[in-house]
Amino acid sequence: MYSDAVQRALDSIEAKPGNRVRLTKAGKAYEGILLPRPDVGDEGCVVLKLSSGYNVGIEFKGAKLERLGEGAKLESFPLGKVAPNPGLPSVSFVSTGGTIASRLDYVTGGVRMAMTPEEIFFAIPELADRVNVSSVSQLSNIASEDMGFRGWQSMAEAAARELNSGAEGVVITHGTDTMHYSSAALSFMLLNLTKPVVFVGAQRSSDRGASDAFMNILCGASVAARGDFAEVGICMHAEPDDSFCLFLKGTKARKMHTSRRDAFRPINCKPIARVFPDGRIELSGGAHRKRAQGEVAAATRFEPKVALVKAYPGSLPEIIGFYSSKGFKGIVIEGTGLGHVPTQTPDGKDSWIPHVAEAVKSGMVVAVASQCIYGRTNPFVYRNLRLLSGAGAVHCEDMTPETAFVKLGWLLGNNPPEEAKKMMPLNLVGEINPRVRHDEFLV
Amino acid sequence: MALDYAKLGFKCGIEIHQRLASHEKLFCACATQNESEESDGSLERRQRAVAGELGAVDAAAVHEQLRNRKFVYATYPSFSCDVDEDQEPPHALNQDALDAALQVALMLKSDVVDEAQVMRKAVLDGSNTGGFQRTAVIALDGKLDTSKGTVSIPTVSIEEEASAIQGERSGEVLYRLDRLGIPLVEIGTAPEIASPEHCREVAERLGMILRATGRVQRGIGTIRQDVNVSIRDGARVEIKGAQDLGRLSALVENEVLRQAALVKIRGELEKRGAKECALEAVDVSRAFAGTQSRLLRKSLDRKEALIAFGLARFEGLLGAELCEGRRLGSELSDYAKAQGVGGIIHGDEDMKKYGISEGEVKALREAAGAGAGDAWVLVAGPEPAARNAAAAAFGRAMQALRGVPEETRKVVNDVQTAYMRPLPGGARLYPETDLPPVRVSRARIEKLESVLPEMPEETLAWLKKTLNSDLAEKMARSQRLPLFRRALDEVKGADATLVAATLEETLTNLKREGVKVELAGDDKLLEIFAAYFSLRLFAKAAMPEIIRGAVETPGESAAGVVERLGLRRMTAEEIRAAVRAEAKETGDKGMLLKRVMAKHRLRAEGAEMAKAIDSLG
Repeated sequence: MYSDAVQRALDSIEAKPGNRVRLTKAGKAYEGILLPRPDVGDEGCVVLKLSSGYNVGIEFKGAKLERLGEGAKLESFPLGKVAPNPGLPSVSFVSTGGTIASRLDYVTGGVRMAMTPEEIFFAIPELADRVNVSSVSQLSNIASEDMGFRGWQSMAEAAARELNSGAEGVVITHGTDTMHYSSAALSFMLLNLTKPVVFVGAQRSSDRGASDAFMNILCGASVAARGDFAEVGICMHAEPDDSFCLFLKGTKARKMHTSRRDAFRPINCKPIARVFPDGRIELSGGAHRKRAQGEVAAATRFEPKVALVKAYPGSLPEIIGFYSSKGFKGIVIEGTGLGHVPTQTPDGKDSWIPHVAEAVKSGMVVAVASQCIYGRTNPFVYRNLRLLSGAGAVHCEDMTPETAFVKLGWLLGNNPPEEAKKMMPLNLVGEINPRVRHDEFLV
Repeated sequence: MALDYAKLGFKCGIEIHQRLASHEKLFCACATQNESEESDGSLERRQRAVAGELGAVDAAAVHEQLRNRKFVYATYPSFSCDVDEDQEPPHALNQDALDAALQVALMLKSDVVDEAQVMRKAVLDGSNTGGFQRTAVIALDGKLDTSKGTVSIPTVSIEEEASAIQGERSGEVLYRLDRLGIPLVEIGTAPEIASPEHCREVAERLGMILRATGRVQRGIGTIRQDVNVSIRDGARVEIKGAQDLGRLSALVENEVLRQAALVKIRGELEKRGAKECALEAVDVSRAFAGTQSRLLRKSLDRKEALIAFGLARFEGLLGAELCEGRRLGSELSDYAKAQGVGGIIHGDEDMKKYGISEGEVKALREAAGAGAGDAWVLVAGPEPAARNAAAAAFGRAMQALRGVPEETRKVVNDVQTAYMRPLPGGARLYPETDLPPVRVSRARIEKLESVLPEMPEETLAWLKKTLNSDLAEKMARSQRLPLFRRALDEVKGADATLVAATLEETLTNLKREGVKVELAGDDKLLEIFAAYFSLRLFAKAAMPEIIRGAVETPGESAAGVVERLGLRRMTAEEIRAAVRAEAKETGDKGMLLKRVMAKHRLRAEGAEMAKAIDSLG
C-alpha cells in the first residue's frame, strides 16, 4: 500500500497501477508504468517501471504526478493449452498452491500463489505428448504452511473421485513445506488405493526459467500415468542436477532442506523409483503396492485435536497439561534419541513422566517418535524409556514424527482412543519399515 | 577512407560492465578474488522459457530454449555456494558493493534513485543458474564530458556477473560458477557517440572514472564493453564483450561498414527483382554419392544429411565482402552454426577448396532449383540439425532483402563480429521477489559525496606535476594508478618517475617476454619498491630481474629474492675493490667504467661506479 499522501495524489489524477505516469521533482521528470506498492520498502516511494524495464522507487515528497495514459496491462500469463489426447493414459491434475504455483507479487513484494495449472503447463509443452490431461482442478491456492486437515480431506476426496472416474493416476501440485504431512494424510485416508497419487512441488517458483517445477511435473505425470504403483507418494528432484526425480513413499518422506531442489528424502527406507524426465521409471527397491482394480474410498474423518510437541533439554512438561485442558485427544512427542523425554532431572523437577501418566489416565493417546528422524524408537533399552512407556506412552517404531502425528489424528478420527492407541505401532499402509538396512540412512 | 559518420546517420551507445572490488559476491558470502582453484564438483541443469512480468515470452529467451541444451556448472570450494547453484535464495544485496556503485554514479553526476529494486533479467543461455541475472538501476540521468561534448548516461546499475563459459560439447555448455555473482557496475550511455574514435574515448574516460574510485577490480576480463551501433537504413546491433580498448574504434568502424554493405546489398537485390519466398530445401546426398570432397565424404559416412537450397538472384552476393574478413556468406553461416552444424558451403566459394567437382555443383544446382543468376547453399550435418540450420541460413538470406537484421553479435578476432542471437526484446525484466527494495537514504548519498575521489582531469594535472607529460598520460590511463599512489604514500623515499616507469614500462616489457607479472600482486611490488627505495637492497638496473624472480617464487620475500639471485647491492668498499681489479687491465677511465659496468651493473648504480673510478685519482 502506498502512503496516504501518495494514494491521495494518485486518486486525484485517477492513476491506477498499470497506467503510464510522469513524476516531476526538482526539475527532473521520471516516466514509466505505475506499479502497485509492495508491502515491503518505503510506502512514500512511487514505484515506476521505466521504459528500460527496470523498476525504481522515487520518493513522492515534493513531486508532482501526472497520468499520461492507460499503459500496459499487468499480470497476465499466457495459458498452455492442454488438448485432450485420448490415446494416452489419463492423468488428473489437482492444484492446491505452493511455490510451484507461485510467481512474483506486487502486493507483498514476495512470491505469491497465483499461477493456475494452465499457466504452468505453458512452459511444459511436452506434457501433452506424455499424458492425456483429463482434468485440471484447483482446490485451493495456499502456501503449504497454511494447509491443514480440511485441505487433506478435500484432496483425498478429489483424488478418489478422479481415480474412480477413469484417471490412471492423480498429480497433486502442493507447497513443499508440509507436503510430507499431506502425502501421509492421503496415504491413510485413501482406502483400497489401486493407482498412484503423486505429490509434486517446486523449490523454485514456476515463473523462473530454472524452476524445478517443470521436471517435477513431467516426472510426476509419468508416475501417475504409467507407474505400476498403488501408492500415495512424492515426486521431486533426486539431486541438485536436473537429472531425475525420486518417487518416495508418502508416509516415509520428509523435507530435509529449506531450499535445495533435492530436499525430499526417503526416511528409513529406499525410494520407490527413479523417474527420468524422458519418461523412464526405474525401481529403486523401496517397498510399494502395485496397481490393481477396484473403487478407491476416501475415509477422510480426522481428529484435529492432536498436537505434536518437542522434548528438549529443559523443556517444560506442563505443555501436556495445556493440551489436555484444551480437550486434545492425542499428542505425539518428538522425543530425543530412542524416544526419551526429560525423566530424572538433577533437581528432580520437570520430569515429563507424571504428566504423561496423567494425560493417559484422562484418555489422551500419547505417542512418541524420535527427533533423530532416522532410526527406530524403542521403549525398553533404557530405564527412562521404560518409565515413559510404563506411563502409557506408545512408541511409534520408525515413523517420522510428522507421519506419527498425521496417523494419530486419522486414527482418532475414525476409532475410539483405545483402538487408536493399539493401532499406532501397527503397520497400516507401509508407514513402518519392520526391517531397516544400512543403505537406508541419509539416502 | 575516412567515413562521414554524421552523414551515415551513425548512432552509437556503449555499456560498460566493470567488476567491483568487494570482498564478497553481490548476493552471497563467497569470495570474489579470482585466484585459481580446483573445481570440486559439477551440476547439470536445464532451463525453459517462461512468461515475463507483462505476460509476453521474450523472443531471445525462446530462441535459447529451442536449442535444448544442458548446462554443466563447475563448483569451487571458496568461490561458489548454494546461492550460486540456485539452491538457496539470495542473501541481502552487498552494501559495500552498492556504495562503490553509488560512488561511480555520483562521479557521473547521476541522480541516485530513492529506492532500488533488484530485477531479474531473463538470460536463458545458461550463464546464470537461475535463468536470470539480478540487476538494479541505482541512478538515472548522468553525464560524461568528452572532447565532442556531453554524452548522457541514462542509467547506472549494479548487477551480478554471469558464469564464465568454459566450452561447449554436443548439446552441453560448460560454465564455471566462481565468477557468477561478482558485483558489477554497469554504465550505459545514450546513443550520442559521434564516431568510432569517440566511442573509444568514451570507453576510456569511463574506465578512468571507474578506476579513480579505487573500488574496482583490475586485470583482464574485469571490464567489458557492449557497443550498440546503427546507421541510417541499418538496424540496432549490440556487440557483446569488447575487451580491447585499442581495437574498439576499428571494431565499431567494421560494424558501420558491415551495415552499409548490407544496405547496398538490399538495393542490389531490389534492382535484380529478388523476392522473399519460402524455403525449398532438398537432400542432395545422392548428387555427392561418389564425391572426392573429404569434408562431404566424412558427413556421408556418418550418415548425415546434405541439405541444399537455392537463392534466386543472389549470385555473387554471398561472396560480397561486408567488411574485412566478413561476407554475406559468413552471416548465413553464423545462423547455421547456431543450430549446431559446422557452417555452410555456398556457390560463391572456391569449390577446389572443398574438392567439390563441377559435375556435383551442376547436380546440386539442378536438385535445388538454382538456375543462372541464382546462388546456392549447402549444409551438412545430422538430422534435424542440418535441416534447421538450412532453414536458419535461408531465413538470414531473406533478411538481406529487408536490410540489416537487429542482432546481438559477439566479437571475433578483436575487430570483427559474428551473429550470436536475436536482439533481446523489452520483456526480459521482472522483479526479484526474493529481495526487498533497497532504500538509498539522502544521508548515505551525502556521506559518499563528501569523500568522492578526484576526477581523472584532476588526477592528470597532479601527475603532470611529478612526471613527464608522456608518463603522466600513461599513468592516468593505467590500471595501476592506485598502486602508483600507494607506492608514493607508503614507500619511504619512492621516486615517482621510477615507480611510474617500473609500473608502466618495466612490467609491460616483462609481460611481453612472457613473465606472468600479475602473479606479483600489489603488495609484493610495494615490498620490492621498499627494498629498493627505502632499504637500498639492490641496484636500479636489477629491478626487472627482481620482479621476474618474485614471480617465480610468489611466497618469497623481496630480500629473499635479492639474495637468491645474488643481486645484493655492492657496498662502496666492494665497488672500489671491483674498480681496482679492473684498473689493472686498462688505464683509460672511459674504458674502465665500461668494463666495470659490464660486470657489475646489476649490482651497483652507474653513478657509484663512476664515483669510485673518479676517486682512484
